[in-house]
Parts: sequence; C-alpha cells; structure tokens
Amino acid sequence: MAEYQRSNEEGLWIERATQGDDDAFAQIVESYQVPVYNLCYRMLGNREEAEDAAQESFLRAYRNLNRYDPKRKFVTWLLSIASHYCIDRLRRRRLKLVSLDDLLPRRERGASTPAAEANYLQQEQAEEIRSMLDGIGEKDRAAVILRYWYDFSYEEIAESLSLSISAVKSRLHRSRREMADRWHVQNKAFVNGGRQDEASAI
Amino acid sequence: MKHPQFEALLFDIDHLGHEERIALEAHLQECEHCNALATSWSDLEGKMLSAPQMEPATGFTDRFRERLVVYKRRKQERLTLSVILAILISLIIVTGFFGAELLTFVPSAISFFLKSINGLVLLGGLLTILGDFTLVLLEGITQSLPAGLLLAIAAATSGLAVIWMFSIYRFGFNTFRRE
Repeated sequence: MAEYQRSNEEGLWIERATQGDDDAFAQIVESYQVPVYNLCYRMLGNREEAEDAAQESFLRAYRNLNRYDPKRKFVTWLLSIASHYCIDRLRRRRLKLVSLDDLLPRRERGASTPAAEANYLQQEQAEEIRSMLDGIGEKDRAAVILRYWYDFSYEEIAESLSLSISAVKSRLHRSRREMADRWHVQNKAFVNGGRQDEASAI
Repeated sequence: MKHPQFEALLFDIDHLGHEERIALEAHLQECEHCNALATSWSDLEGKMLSAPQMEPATGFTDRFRERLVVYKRRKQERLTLSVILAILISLIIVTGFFGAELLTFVPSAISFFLKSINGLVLLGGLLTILGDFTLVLLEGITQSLPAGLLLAIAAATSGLAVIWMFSIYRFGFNTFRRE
C-alpha cells in the first residue's frame, strides 16, 4: 500500500518535472540520491568522483525526462543512466595517467575507540570489495552491482545495460569466477604472509 | 558431469535443481579446488550482500539545484551565441549570393568618388553663404535696436541658461547620484 502511494507520488513528481517544475525534480533527487550515489561509489570506488557522477546522472535524467517511458520502473531508468555514465567514465579513466596519489601507499588509520574501530573495519571491508570490483570490466562490474546491491533480475540488468539476458548471465558468471579466484589468491597470500610473520617472530 | 560443468553450477547456486545441487555437493566433498573456490565465493558474496548502501554528504539536493542553475545559464548562453552565429552566417551567405548583384546597382568607384567630392564642395559653399548672411543679419539688428533693449535680451538669455543648467543639476545629475 505504501509502495502504491509512493509510486503515485513519484508519478506526480515526474509529470510535474516534465512540465518544467524544478522543485518536483528536486523531490526526485531527494528520494533517489542514495541508490544513485551508492551505484556510482561502487562503480568508481571514490567519494568525490561518486558525488560528481551522481550529480551528472541526475542532470542527464533531467535533460532526458521527456524520453522516459512511464511503463518502465523509474528507478531502473535512473540507475541505467548512472550505470552508463560510470562505464563511460571508467573507460575515459583508463586512458588517463595514474596520479601520484595512487602510487603512494595507503595510510593505515589507528582505531582508538570502538566507534573508530567499527568505522575502520567498515572502510576495510569497503576497500576489499572495491579491489575485487576493480579487477573486472566496466560492464561486468555494473552487472554485479545491480545484482547484489539492487537485487535486479537478469531482465532488469539486461534492460539497464542494453544487453541480452544470455549476455548478462555469461557476464555475471565470468565476473563471479574472476572475483572468487582473486579472493582466493588474496586470502591465501594473506594467510601465508601471516605464517611467515609468525615464523620470523619465533 | 565434468569438472568445468561443476564450476559453472558453483556460480549459479540460486538457479539449481534438486539433482544438480546433490551432484554439486558430492563433487565439492571430493574436489579440493572447487571446494576452495566455493568457499571463497561464498565468503565474498556474503560480504557484498552485507555491504551497506553508501550515502552522499548532506546537502546533495541543494548542490544539485546549484548545478542545475549553472547548467541552465550555460544553456541560455549557448542559445544566444547560436542565434548570433546564425545571423552572422546568414548575413555572410546573403552577401555572398547577392553581393555581386548589388554591386551592379552602384556606379563605378571613380565616378562615385568624384560625385562625393563635388557634393562636399557644394556643401562648403552653401555653409559660407549661410555664415555671411547671419553676419549681415546680426549687424543689421545691432544697429537698428537700442542698447538698453540689447542688454535686456542678453540678461534674459543668461537667466534662461542659468535656469536650464540648474534644472539639469536638480532633476538629472542629482537624481542619478541618489540612486
């Protein structure tokens, strides 16, 4: 019932925004800022870039609002715009030179309080996931994110990324395989490194 | 079922049938490689499913509104520039197409130049005649009118000039300064 009311309200905002009401579009931004930002963050792995990409995705949605088909779910359409934008951005990024910041080792932060420790663990987990996602192609990454963070069906992923359902299945399979391999190798290295440390300590 | 087929099943556990699931479980107990892969994937999948939604810093919508204002202003600027460019291009095209035709209506450049010089000489002569006539008129007036009346006319003209200058200061210059 709540979802029905929400979708009615959403339909009204979209209709008003299409007629040029910027306040109505601002309501849409307010409602969908978290899913769009999260998608951009998971795709790009960096807060500043994610903010910029999310803003740009909303601006693209604003410009193309008259092309939105009300038969589609609005969030699917919006996330599709954000996915395509992030994929383009990642492709452009590949062409750029690596910045000096990327070459410097990441600083470890000390966890002095329980809250700081929890925050540190959360960051560490986010970093682990980011490194796994970084290892796969742009479109594969988008497919994985839409599957695991948005619970999209194969059909919805195919629609969002302009792919066939069989292509989505094969991309997801390939990505899972690659990520599992990398995760296995990384953990093995971590365990071996730990053992070597223990041995040298003894 | 062969080894690669089990690997394929491993990453599609949600869509497995009962028999496929049993076969995979049996294979995992035998195959160390697949078992390690399944454990890794299960661990990573769990981490991804439990990862929170990242939220933007507060004021995201306000920042979007600012971006929208900049976007609209740039769009307006681009539109204005496009109109100006379109007019300029149209003018160049029109001049290019019809310029040669228009030139046929203008007499040759030398005769046009000579006619302009003649016109200027004629205008100079007319102005000289007008100046002479004004001098004669003023001399006639000053000789025929009494000195007292001339002084009164001069005083009235000066007074009007002072009033005019004051009105400019009061209603023009002073108002502008107040704003």
